[in-house]
Amino acid sequence: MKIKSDTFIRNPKDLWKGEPEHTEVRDLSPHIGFNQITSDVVNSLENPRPIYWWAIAICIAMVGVGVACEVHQYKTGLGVSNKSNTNVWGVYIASFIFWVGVSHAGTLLSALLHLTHSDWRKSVFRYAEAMTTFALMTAGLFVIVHLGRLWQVYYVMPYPNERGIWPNFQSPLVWDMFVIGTYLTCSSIFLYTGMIPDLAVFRDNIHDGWRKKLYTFLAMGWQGTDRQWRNFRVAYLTLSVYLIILAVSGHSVVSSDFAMSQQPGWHITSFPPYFVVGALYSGNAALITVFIILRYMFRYEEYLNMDVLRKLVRLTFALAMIWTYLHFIEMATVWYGHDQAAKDQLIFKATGVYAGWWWLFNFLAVVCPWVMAFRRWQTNLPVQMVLSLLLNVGMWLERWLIVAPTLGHSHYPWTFDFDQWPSYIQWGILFGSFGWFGLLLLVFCKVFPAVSMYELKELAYARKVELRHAHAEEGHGRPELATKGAH
Amino acid sequence: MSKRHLLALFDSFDEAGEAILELRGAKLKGFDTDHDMIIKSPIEHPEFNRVFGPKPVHVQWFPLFGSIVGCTFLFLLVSGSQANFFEQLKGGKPIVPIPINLVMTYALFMLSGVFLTVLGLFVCAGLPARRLPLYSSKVLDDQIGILVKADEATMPVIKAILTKHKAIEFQEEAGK
Amino acid sequence: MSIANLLQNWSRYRDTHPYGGAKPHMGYKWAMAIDMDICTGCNACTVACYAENNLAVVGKEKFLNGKSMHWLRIERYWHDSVEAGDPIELADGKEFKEGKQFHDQGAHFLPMMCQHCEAAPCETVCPVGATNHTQDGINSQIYNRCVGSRYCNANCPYKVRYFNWFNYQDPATENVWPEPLNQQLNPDVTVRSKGVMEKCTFCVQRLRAVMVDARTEERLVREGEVQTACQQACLAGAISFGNMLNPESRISKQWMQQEVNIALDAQPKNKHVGDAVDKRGYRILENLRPYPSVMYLEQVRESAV
Repeated sequence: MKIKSDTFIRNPKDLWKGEPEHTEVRDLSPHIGFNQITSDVVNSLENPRPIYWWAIAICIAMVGVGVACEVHQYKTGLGVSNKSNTNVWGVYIASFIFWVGVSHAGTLLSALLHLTHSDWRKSVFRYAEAMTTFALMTAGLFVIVHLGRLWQVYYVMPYPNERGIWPNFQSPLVWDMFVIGTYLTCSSIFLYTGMIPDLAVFRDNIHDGWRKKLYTFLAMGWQGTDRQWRNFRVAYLTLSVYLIILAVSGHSVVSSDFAMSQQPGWHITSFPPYFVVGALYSGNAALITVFIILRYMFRYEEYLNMDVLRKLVRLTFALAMIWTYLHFIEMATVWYGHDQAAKDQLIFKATGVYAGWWWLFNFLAVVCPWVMAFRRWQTNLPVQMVLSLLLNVGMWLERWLIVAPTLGHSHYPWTFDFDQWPSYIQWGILFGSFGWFGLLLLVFCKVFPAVSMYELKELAYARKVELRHAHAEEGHGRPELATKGAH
Repeated sequence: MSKRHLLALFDSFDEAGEAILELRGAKLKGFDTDHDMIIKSPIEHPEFNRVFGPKPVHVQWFPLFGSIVGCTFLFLLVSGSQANFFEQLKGGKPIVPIPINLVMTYALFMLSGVFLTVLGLFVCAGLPARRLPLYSSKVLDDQIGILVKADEATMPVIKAILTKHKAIEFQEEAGK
Repeated sequence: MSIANLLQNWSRYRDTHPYGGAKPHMGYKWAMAIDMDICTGCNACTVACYAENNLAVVGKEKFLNGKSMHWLRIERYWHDSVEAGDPIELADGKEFKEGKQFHDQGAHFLPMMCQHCEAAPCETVCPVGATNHTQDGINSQIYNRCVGSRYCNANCPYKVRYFNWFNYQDPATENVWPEPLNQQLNPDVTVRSKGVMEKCTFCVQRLRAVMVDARTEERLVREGEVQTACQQACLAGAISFGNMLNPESRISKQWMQQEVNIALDAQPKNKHVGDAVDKRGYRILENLRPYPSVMYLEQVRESAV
């Protein structure tokens, strides 16, 4: 719709041509003004609810468990994780895929929805982006933990070295190193670049201590001038485009670890889209979990509000359905493709020793998301909390059931081996990884703006423009000023 | 004649927009609106571009350059290093497998593009920036600032225009 | 300069092996044939392999847990099934059931080791290039380069790669060669540390020794000059090993006689089942197209004759 406000602009034809940038403004209360956003976010750095410190303590304890397990494994050898020469991979690789998957939702929200001008993302995308970075950092740990000689992990790096050799560029693991490394680097850059205007606000509002020094350094002298904003907008848009293709290629390459191999149950053409959508799905479920936690912990009730949650839940449901479709397609291609080994593998999953887990995973990841289809549950916090955790349990099981059954039930029947239940070491490291991720995220939210101030202000501004516009249409004359909010 | 700075703070984009228009229209001597006026605001404001007239943005050329150079570099790096593999070939595959190298080339396409985008942002936006002569933290909170640089003689006129459009606060450099 | 090198030798770099372009085998292509008609399943080859290649004896518990290091394993198959639980329970005084007590045709033994595939699935997936195809046609494993990602094992159709789950040479933890036993370790073969993958090497230490000797005498290795440990230990002579490019060698004659072509993924002899009495040669999982270098000669069963 057009802005018809000729009461105070002399040349409306020259000035205010075209559509207003934002028309969807229901995601933020209209009573929130600019300086309330500033003060709320700045205050969130200082006074989280006490549960924050409990959460930090729990996370540190979890990391401790993981580190203890890893130290034991490092000193004794990978054998303590109870793998065998048949089941060479296990929880570590499954968790690697899981964490890379969690990272994808952040990119979806911050980059894809940014390009499509989905304004409801504005309050959630910052912590989602942080989740991207931290989930990738966690995923990277699993690759290292899983190596037999992790002290030589640098052998995978392509650089001219004294050994005179290069990594084997044909290996999907080297592609992983390239793509996950690129993804981690780029998502951190994206996170930081998007944060510069907010860091400048922190610099101006915090007057002493290490925080002042930190923000002054990181804000790089941002002053919100027109030149800065103009270039920032284009740069941010460009970065989002890169991030989208990175996310898609990222998990596609992770899926090539399996799809490029010859093993039954891995060698499936539809794996790349299946993995990418599965990643978005589990990542979105994780976003809902973190949404509910941060909302309470940092008193973000105004910004992480029910309307945004509803949209997030709907998005998750849509992704769940796409994923379900691809899940059945994957099984259908295996079934009708009639590659006997792959077919046996599928039957083995449904009826063999992993059957219980397989059906549980199907229930959790395919049936459970239907709860999200019901409007009355969409904004029910306890329901969504439990549900999002269950979905992620299901999606973790999915990854584990891609990795483990194929190894135990491969081409060569003599080597079938179904008895390798992962030892407490593997579970301990998985447990620790959640602590590590949580710790990074909690510290981030306390030090950096977990919701984006300038994007919320844009949202508030768009809301005011719409209000003014509605007033003008009703003939109320000049409405209240756009940027001044009620408190 | 010495130049002086003046920072005016506004409550809303509308008033700031009007003030800018009027300043442009006034055609004051020794005051070029394109160079002597800087707008500071808490949010991005594409609407103001219309007030300013078109100002070109060149950031997008950086990633184009970066991606092309990154691609070429990586493809040659990977293929060249694979050329060392003649003594350690992989059975069933050529020593320089092109589709496989394209996977990594694509990764560096994005990595170098992102690096150069950020470099482009820093170059084009002048980051890290020095603090401008007059600064108020309110421009990042909820107000719009117009920083003008003009001859001392013109300053009262400018100030009058800004006041007329409800500038709520002024900051001036100490007189010389 | 590498780019100039790349452009000059482009066609060589684009060759695929073994089914495309020039063969990179320089005088040698080591291969094996195992006649399962002769094999008695005595496990002497396995023991010889343990002794020759310093394989760790991991003990009963780890063996049952799938952590054994037998580069060469004897697999035992039964052609017909016996009713579950009949004869074994007899010792406990259980009732003897009517029916078959033993398998009619006995067991069928299959010695399984690394097949040294010409297009090995393990080679392409190793991130650090620790496993490669050598010029003499062996699938090599470079322990020093291995970081232990175990992708090679995950992609091996035969699962003949063995991982050092523990530090088997460390006296403090898992000492599998306690004091005088360490004296029997073969000095020509390295003792692998924890976290590396290992597998059958076709006794590469023996091959290299004779190849160096032959080269100083400016000739190729003669037939019979080198034996692998398993071949040497096989009392029945079921294992033959040698240079396939030497038309006089036993191995090349066997492959020729059995009409097994190393560069094909399905052998033409399989099309004529009727005249297959002489032609017993086959390779395992050929259809996956790894082009293995080990040919097996089918056991002739009474039922087949």
